[in-house]
Amino acid sequence: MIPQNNSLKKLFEEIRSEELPANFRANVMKRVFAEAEKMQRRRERQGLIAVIAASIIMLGIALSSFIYIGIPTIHLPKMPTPSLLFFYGYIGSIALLLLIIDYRIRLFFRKKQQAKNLR
Amino acid sequence: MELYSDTYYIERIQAGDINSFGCLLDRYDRQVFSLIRKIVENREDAEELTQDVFLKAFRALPTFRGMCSFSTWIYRIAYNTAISATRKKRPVSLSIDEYQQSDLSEEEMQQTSDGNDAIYRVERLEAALGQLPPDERALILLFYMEQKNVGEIAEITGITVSNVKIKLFRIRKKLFVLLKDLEEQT
Repeated sequence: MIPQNNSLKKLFEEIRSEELPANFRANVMKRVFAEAEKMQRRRERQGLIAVIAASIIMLGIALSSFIYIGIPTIHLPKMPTPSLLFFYGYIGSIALLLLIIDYRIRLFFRKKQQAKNLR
Repeated sequence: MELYSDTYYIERIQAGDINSFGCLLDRYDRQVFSLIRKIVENREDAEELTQDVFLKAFRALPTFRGMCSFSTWIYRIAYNTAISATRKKRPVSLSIDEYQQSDLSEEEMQQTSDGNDAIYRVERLEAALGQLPPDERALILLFYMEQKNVGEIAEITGITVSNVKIKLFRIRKKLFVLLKDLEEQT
């Protein structure tokens, strides 16, 4: 069906192809890296939305089971006595203090690591 | 020497190594650019569209399943991008009567493309190509310049193999009519 015209083929081979600008590769790769970052952010966002949606669904199911099915029956604990309240507060404040110290230490080491990487 | 196959680089990119995309870019940028450049005719537009083609390819790479070769796939993106761009601009293309095409014999076609001076012949060919509609220009360029076979062209353009054959036959005749006219004018 297609006649093979060799002279036409040769003629096409003689057409000089133009060169791309020197910065073409760099420009494309720059856009590609920006796109990759955007795709990563999109994936993270989608993951977060999925987690939130799943949590809401699970909470909804739990809530509906509490309301309509009535399981499990919740018995609220009796309020602790004033002397025990002081003890609970003491333990709670120690836990909070440890949490703050842990946060501060992590922050300090992260900054130290970043400074080391920049060097 | 080509060290690794396209599939190797694609797998690496899919695994998160974005730098591997540069290797695919180095392999296909000129071919894609030369095709687009001939379809859209404007250099700046061609550069921009070539960038868009590679960006589209990068975005779609996670869904690339290797049903066809990467080369065919990237040409398909390039063809669609370039044709869409030309449709937006709607260039005026020359219409050639069917009878004019059927008048041309195989010998005449041979003589027309055999012409005298190589430089003038190439110039005439480029001028004749410029007068073809973008989709027809793309088809003939894929066949003669990019040396794609009919099956590959069918995959790239999304038309059937028999349709590609018919189209190529008609475009070739049209091209010879244009070349003959240009030769007579000079």
